This record gives sequence, structure tokens and C-alpha cells, in this order.
Amino acid sequence: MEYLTDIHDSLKTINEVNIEYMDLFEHPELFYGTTNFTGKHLDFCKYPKKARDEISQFGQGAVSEMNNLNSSSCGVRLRFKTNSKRLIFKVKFKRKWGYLKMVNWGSFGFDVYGVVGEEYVHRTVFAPSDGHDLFAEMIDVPYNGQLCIFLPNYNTIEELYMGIDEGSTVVTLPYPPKKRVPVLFYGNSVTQGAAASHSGNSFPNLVSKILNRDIINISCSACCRGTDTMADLIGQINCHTIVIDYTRNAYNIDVFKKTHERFYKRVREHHPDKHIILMTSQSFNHWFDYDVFDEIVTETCFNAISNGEDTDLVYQKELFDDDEYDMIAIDSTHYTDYAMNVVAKTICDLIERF
Amino acid sequence: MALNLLTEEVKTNLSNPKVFKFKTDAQKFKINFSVNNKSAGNYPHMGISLREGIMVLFRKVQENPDDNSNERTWYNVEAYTERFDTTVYMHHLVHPDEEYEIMIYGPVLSQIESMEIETPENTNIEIIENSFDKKFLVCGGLTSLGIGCTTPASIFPSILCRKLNASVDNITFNDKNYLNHVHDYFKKNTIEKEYDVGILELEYSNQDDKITKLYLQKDIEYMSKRCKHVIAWICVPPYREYKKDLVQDIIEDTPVDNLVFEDLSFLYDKEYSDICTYSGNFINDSGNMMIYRKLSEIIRGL
Repeated sequence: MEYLTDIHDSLKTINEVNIEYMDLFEHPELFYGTTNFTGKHLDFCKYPKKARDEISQFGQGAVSEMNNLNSSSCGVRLRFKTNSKRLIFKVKFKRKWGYLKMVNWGSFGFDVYGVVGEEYVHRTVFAPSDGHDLFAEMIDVPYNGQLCIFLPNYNTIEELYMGIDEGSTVVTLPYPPKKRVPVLFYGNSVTQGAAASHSGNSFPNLVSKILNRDIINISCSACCRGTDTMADLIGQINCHTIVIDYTRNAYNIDVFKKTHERFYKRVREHHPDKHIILMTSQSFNHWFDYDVFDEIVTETCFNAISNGEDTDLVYQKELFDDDEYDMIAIDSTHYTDYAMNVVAKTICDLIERF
Repeated sequence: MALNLLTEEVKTNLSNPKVFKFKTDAQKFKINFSVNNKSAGNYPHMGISLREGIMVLFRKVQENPDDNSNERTWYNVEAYTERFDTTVYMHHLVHPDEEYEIMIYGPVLSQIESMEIETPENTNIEIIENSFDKKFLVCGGLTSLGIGCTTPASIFPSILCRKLNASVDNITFNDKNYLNHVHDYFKKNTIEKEYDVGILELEYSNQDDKITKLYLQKDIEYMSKRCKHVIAWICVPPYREYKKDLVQDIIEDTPVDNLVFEDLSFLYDKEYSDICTYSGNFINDSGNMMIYRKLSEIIRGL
């Protein structure tokens, strides 16, 4: 990795001879998981202004997270096929300092997979060290030229150039026809991908890899509040399945009781026939309130099923034994990759059954 | 009320990360700590709390009052660094006046300079005197030290000691070539202790083969004399498979009878590698959990 002072700096340690750069912000067609489907310019922001503004009612912590993360590239993938033998990425990030409970390869990582048929073969991950927001990295291209790069879950990419061998081509790498309608995820910091050791291992990204299917992840740390605006946003997106991971960002039991079923019903109004998966809380230290939160989610699900709706429940605490709780999360909440994988496989089973 | 946890015993023992324990009935407490000798290296695969912070866990005392086996489960509370507010609120986890135990892991790449707990007036707090069932000696390099983990609680020696109520002395080094450092340590320091189990990271995939040939046998022989049992574990990706052969040849020629060899290279198999490792080079939190599971199985069977 080479650190830069300007995105257009010539590289000193990486050979740039016969390399031509393309500004990837001019190529939104190569990216999957954004919600701005019509723009000619890449836009990572998934939240309309109203959704960003209404966060102010939920306190400074939520406002700060929304400001920081509204345009993070969480759940977004750069997928393409190329005949270039190598690629050089030049990246400018918004944030240069890592997070307390995430490794930089998880929060800031470009997680590179080769795509072979339906399988994803991990090749490398790269991210800058703390204190750096401008860097270049070179990667080799696999023999079949097919790559899927999971972008950082907890940073905003402000500039992104990709260098390719002069005269080579880069074309889109779409998902198989039956897997192009995305699974939609709405949740909190865990759903956004916090604590996965590399970006591709957040549970939504794992679902995408396991099913070889497109996803959209509109999760934002501290900002999953079950508002009408977000229900309406979800309502506008054509999707295969909706995963609602709304629990612990609610301020307290009363607020959660008032908002959870209401939020679900509003999403359901928009998507009367869609498969919806409700998630209970991620709480692995017996925090008193979350048992009640889980009862509320279970009740919402029970009512929906009684009403004949296509709704499933993932009871997250029951996916693990009590004596594993200190190992499957890096704190009381945020999953390790092992646990992300357990959650992802559970969701995939439900989606495939559907 | 303030309680200093950095006792002479903690200062001088060989555990890394340092472990601090106390019990209290306070609904909140503040951890006043400082660290020095922070490492300024390139660590995109390590959490900040592991480098220069702390990790806090708790368990209840009264839930099973007859259970003195020390096997009650610890649960994660939170990670902190000096930059954050270190007040720990426990009212969502324990009832008023309920007594509970706290365990704090220090960082592995910097030193704890001070560690004091502040509790409100009219609350009780006391250091927990250690009473371990087993004594472990862990020798190794980057993985045994925790490189690749998010917090100090996730490293496999930390999990082993927490789950099996064991003390640990860590002779571990932040260097891809570490068997020579382990040898040097044994040469310069006389260890009087007898350990129940010695755990040796046999080979890090980037270790120079010359170092392995020169020092592996000597390290095993030394550990064999100090430990009732020695578990030597290896974990190498397929493209470094030849290193396994090298290590096995050396072990066969090592005249010890209390050695168990365990091959954990399955972590680099298709089923596990994406979840447990980074790009075939480092082992993450999940990989450490897998290592704990395998080693604890062996230890329970010894």
C-alpha cells in the first residue's frame, strides 16, 4: 500500500507504467447495492433528506452517526469482469481514524473476491492504517477476470479511481437472472457490518455471497428507529425479501412497543406479498430490557402470521449457546465472523424455503 | 471509594494481556487507567482495545451461590480506550445491591501504567484473590499474542484461561520469527514454576525455516521439562504445507514423551478460511475461538 497526499500523485512503489485510470464515480453500472438507480454519477447515500433530517429527534449520538455514515458504502459491491492483468486502486476516504471495536480491514476494507461460477473465492483485503485517508493499492486479477469487491461498511469513499492495463476492458458482472432482485436489509450497527473482520463478512454481505444474490443494506449505526419515512423508503424499493433488524436502537421498551409493529405494518402495506424476516435483538450478556424487546418482536411476528402474512422470525439469542456468548460477539452485541455466518445461513435457509 | 488493581502480583506475573479481577455491588463504576509504550505499527487487523485499551467482562455471584467451581460464564460488557468515558453502567445487567464479579483484560501491545476502580459511596468493592484450577504456559508468535483479534478477550489463551479457570504465563512475541526469541527467553530466565499444560505455537507460516530448524527442538525440550503436558499446534495455509512436514520431522526426532501434536490447518480449508482468517495470513476472532475449542478438547482429555 502506498499513502498519497493527492489522489493524482504518481506512485513511487507501485509500477504505473502502461496503466490508465478510470474514475469509478462515472461508472455507477459497476456497483451493486446503491439505491440511486437512475443517476449517471455514483452516489452512495441511501437516505433521502427527510430521513436524514428526522434523526435530529433521536439525540446527538444518532445525529452524529447519520452525518458520519449516511453515505458509507456498506453492503455495496464493485463487480466486473476485466482482461486487465492487474488493477491499481486510488482511494480517498472521508474518515482516517479507526473505530474502537472494529479492525480496519473490517470497517475500511476493500474485500476482494474472485467469482468462479456461483462461488466466491477470497483473494485479499486492503485498508489503510489509522491516520490515513488517501492511498493506493495494487491487486492481481484472477485468470477468469471476474471480481466482486465488497466496499467498506464504515467509511465514505469520496474519490475512487481504478487503474487498468492500457487498452483492456472492464464490463459489468451481473448476478444470475433469477437473483437480481435484491434482499433488502434494514437494521443497526450490527446489520451495517460492525465487527466483521473483513467487509465481506457482515451478515448481509454473507447472505449475498452464499446465495450469489444482489442485496441492498440501508442500515445505519444508531439510526434504526422504525420511522414512517424509512418504512416508506423500503416501500419504494423493489426487493425479493425484506430483513428488518430493528430492536436495540429504540430508546426504551415503551418506544419500542409503540413503534415495532407499527413500522412492520407500514412496510407490509407497501409490500403485501413480500417475504419479510423479523429479527430479535443481538444481546449476549442478559441485558434486562432486551428480553422484553424480543417478546415484542415475537408478538409482531405472531400477529402477522396469524393474519396470513408471509413473515418469518430469526430469534438471534437462540442461535447460540449461553456459554458461547462471550466468544461469538466482541462485546455484548457485535458479532464475530463465525456468528455473522450463523445468522446469514439462518436467513438464507428462510429465503430459500420461501 | 477507589481500589488500585495494579498490584505487585499483577505487575510481575507473565500474563499478557494482564488480567484484573474484583467484585462489587456498585450499580456503576469508573475505570481510571493509563497505558504507555503504545505501539505505532501498521495494524489494520487488530482492534484498538487490543493494542492500547481494555476489555471488561462480568459474571454474577449470586445466581448459583453453591457453584464455587469457577465455571460460571463470563459475559462481555464493553471495550474502552483512554480516549473514551470509562464509566461502566451495570444497572441493566445486575439488580440493586446484587454482587457481581468483573474481569478486565489489558492490551497486548502496550503496558498498563495504572489501573484504579472508583465506585460510589456506600458500595462494596474488593479484589478477587486468584484461585486457579490449572496453570498454563503459552509460547508463540503473532497468533498466540493476539494479532488478528479485535479485543484482548478474543485471543485463544484468554478464552482458555477464562473457560478452564487457569492462570497463564505468555512467552509470546510480535515477530514472524519467534522460536528464537522463545529460546532466548528460556536461556536468560530461570522458570521455577511447574505448569499443567504448555501450549506451543509451532509454526507461523512466514517463519524462516532456518529458525525452525535451529530452535524448535530446543524450545519443545525446555517446555517439556517445565510442563506436565505440551501441546504443539500448527496452522498453515495449503501453500505452506511443506512447513508441516518440516515440523513433524523435527518433532519425531525430539526425545520427549509428553507432547501432543495438533494440526489446526483446517482453519485454512474452504469451509473455514473466509470466516476464520484474513487472506491466508492472520487468524481472526472466530479462528481464535476455533483454536480454543480444539485445545480445550485436548486439555480436558489429558
